[in-house]
Amino acid sequence: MVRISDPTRARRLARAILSDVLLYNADAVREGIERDDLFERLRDELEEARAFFRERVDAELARKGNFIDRAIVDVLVCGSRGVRSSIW
Amino acid sequence: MRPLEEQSHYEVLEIERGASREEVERAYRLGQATYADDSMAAYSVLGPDDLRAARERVELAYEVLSDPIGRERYDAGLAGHPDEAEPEPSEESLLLPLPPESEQAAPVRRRVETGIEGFEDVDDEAEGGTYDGARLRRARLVRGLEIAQIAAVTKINPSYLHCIEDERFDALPAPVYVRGFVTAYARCLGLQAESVALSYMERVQGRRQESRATRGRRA
Repeated sequence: MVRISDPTRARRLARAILSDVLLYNADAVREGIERDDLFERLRDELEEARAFFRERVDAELARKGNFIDRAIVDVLVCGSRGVRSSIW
Repeated sequence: MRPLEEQSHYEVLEIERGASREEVERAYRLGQATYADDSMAAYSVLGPDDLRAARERVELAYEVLSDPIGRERYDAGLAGHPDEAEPEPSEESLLLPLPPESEQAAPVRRRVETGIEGFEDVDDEAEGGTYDGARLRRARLVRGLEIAQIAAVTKINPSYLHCIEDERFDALPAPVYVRGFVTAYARCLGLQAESVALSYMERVQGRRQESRATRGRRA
């Protein structure tokens, strides 16, 4: 399998994966933001997301880029700014 | 009014510089509808080529403004350009650079329609074999595509795409439609559409037969 070595493609992959996490777990994400326990509540889904990303992206690039964490913030957290929460 | 290609992304989407993500999303959808092939608003004003060019310009604006990091960099570029011209590419670090200029100029729609430009080396697992919903989803993800992007190109309702990936066959319409959806979806991903559809439809038919048999036993 050819692993992704281009940072732009790695970023797109991370965002697509997290977009799916949001799409498939909309209620859990909302509740996780509301109660500030997003990472516990979505532990399995986020681990699955990281595993899929690691499987597809060059290990060195994945380690340096922190892509999944950035995508979590951009897609899951920033995408839920309308949710009432003590986070903000 | 300046031609679309000379307008900033904000002008193209007709939104303020401080527009929220939701406003960007709304403006994008409105732009797509305005420049759709069957748009009444553009009827007799723009030809098919003009409409396509306008949609691509809207796609490009959306691609940049819907990405918080890309937008931040774009705004930073605009700050030094009072006429809101496209910012010059700057030195980028290894982490999260802007897409290369060639990619920025290639709208999502074109990338998707041509089988995902730049993803020719994507390895979707071995060719052939059964295509189920999970495999279609993986094929989409490795191309960095979201359901909404596929829906924008294929015009298939995102909830149906979701059901196809989840194999919730009971929530899908008649098989003839599902075959069309899967074919369009696979073509978008640059897969061998006919064989993917054939493989997927075998699963649909198999599940339907199982359901019928179960109902028959209960009766």
